[in-house]
Amino acid sequence: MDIQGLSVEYRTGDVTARAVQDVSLELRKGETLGLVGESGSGKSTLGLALMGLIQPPGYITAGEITFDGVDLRRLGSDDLRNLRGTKIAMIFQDPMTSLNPVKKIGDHFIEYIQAHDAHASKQKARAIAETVLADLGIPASRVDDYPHQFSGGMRQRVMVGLALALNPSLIIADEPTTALDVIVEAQILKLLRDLKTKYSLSLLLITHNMGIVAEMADRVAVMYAGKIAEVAPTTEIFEDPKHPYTKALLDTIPNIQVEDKILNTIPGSPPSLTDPPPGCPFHPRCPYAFERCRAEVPESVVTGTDSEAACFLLEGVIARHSSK
Amino acid sequence: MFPTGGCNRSSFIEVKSLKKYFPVQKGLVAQLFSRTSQSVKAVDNVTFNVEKGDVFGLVGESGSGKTTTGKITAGLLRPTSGEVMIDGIDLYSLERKKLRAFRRKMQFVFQDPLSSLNPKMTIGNAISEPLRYLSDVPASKRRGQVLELLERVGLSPADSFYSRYPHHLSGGQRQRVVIARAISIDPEYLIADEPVAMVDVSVRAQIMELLLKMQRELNLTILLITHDLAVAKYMCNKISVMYLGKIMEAGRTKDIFANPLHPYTQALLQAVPIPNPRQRSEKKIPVGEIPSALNPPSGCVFHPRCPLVFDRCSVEIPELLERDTGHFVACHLYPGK
Repeated sequence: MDIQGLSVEYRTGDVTARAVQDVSLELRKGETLGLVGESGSGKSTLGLALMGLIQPPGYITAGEITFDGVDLRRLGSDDLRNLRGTKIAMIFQDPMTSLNPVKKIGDHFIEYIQAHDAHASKQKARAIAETVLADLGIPASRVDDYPHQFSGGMRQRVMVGLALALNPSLIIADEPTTALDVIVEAQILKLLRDLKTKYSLSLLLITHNMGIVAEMADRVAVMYAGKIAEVAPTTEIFEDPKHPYTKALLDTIPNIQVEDKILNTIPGSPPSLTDPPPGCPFHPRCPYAFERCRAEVPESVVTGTDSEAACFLLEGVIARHSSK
Repeated sequence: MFPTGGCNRSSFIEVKSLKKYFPVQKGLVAQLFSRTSQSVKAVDNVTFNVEKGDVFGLVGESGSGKTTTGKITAGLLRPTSGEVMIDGIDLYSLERKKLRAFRRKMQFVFQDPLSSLNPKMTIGNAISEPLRYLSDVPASKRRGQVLELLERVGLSPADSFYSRYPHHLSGGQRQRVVIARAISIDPEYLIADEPVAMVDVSVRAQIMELLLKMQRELNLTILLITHDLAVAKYMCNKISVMYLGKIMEAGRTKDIFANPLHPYTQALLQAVPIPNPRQRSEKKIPVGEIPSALNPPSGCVFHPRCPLVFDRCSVEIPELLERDTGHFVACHLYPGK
């Protein structure tokens, strides 16, 4: 999947929130890309846009999303619906609100499968449900249970199972473990890792948790105020972060394995999307901000063999690099 | 030593054999035909001591009883049995009026600052409320005091915040307002229930630092309730790990993190995602989830999920025993010192 210059806005009355601004990002076959950001950074909106799920008052105002050579924005609603589920599927944060409380688990699968293939028989759909659930460690006998009879972790397994039911090649997981306790979270993450190999999936993992990214992702994209601040391979992000925001963010995160780590604090709070600061959105909180940051929006510059970041400070660094 | 109870002059909060069972409402038919009544054992025989000036962490997953325990030690929920002594006074033997007066000594910070603040009340008024009802500060001096409090929690210039409303502020700023209100009447004891769980990642460290600064400046005793081990490690000098209404392990934070004894604590620590991509490893994660407190397992409540379970575990409830100096664990693997 390839995203070029994507912008998404939410319009209410005369207020416009620019949730995603000019985002370009590539998602490679078979990789896990971690998309990290704080609330309001636009990471969930980006995920929804990739699924073709932006609805008024949200609008995609610019950009292209190409998946397997097809521009998603040009697809009609039928084609788009067909693509969702069979090619791209999504897992959301809260399994309780994603499952219908008066429907049996098996019926969720039947509905989902028949929505994409009207000819699929109930028996066939049930059989798929049982196989997928077995992969997730849920006994087949429980397809006739209702969501409330499942624990939080099992509900999230069901959501993962639904996403897998039609054999997609890309899964977008938006904070899939945020509502879960830490042990169950570890169980679900392990499950996602195993299934990714088994079903040869690509995974876009949207999260605010740097620990999860460190454990799961091959590459990481850091979002701030609707823009991509930095993209790089995971080890590079953690060991040699280039963007001041990434650096600051890593310094604020406690690590239970490090003795008495002193946490740095980032002053201020994330900017408002309806009234963003001019220039680089991070400049009011950035310790290195200078004149130009307040006036101009920085473009992404190449910072390594497979990495880029949007910061004026890095332009000089790279220039020096290439002149060597 | 600390969780054993007994008479220890320096302990500020003493909780002894605390139990809180919530009765389960049954339908009419069930009431007519069955005589046994069921209850959820939210807190089941919990004992701990908090010394003055401690930042004491109650750590556990959802359903472990940590919030219920916190509420009881704040005088907000009457326990089924057991004792809560604060500063030598038995909280639940006080009559209503005295209990209210006693509450001046304690304040709260909850998870969601937006629902803790009245949306129709300005920041200034919200912070003066406790001054008006619980202190002797005369009306003429309240504004000045509120401004001072705002500066103190890092909301400056204070003037510009005074007449704003909660919806004008960011999540982190709102939590600062809640903290300002909590310290306005000079409490001795602060209960912070997941104070940073809803705050943005980049702001979380600010709020933790602010709470610790207030603790130092006011010599507060803080009971911190959290599910986040990293938060507990950063803020607390002592912690108790709870599971299904019981304390599994208790001691100094550094001892517990350096040398976790209980298989449950070990599992919890292993499960936390580590922000270091070079430390990816296969984890030993226990199967299943925290069982229902309506029908807890026999013996040790963790035994059905424990990797080191043996026959004694399903039969006998392990006692919380001192294994190393100041380090307590409730597990049959450790026969005590």
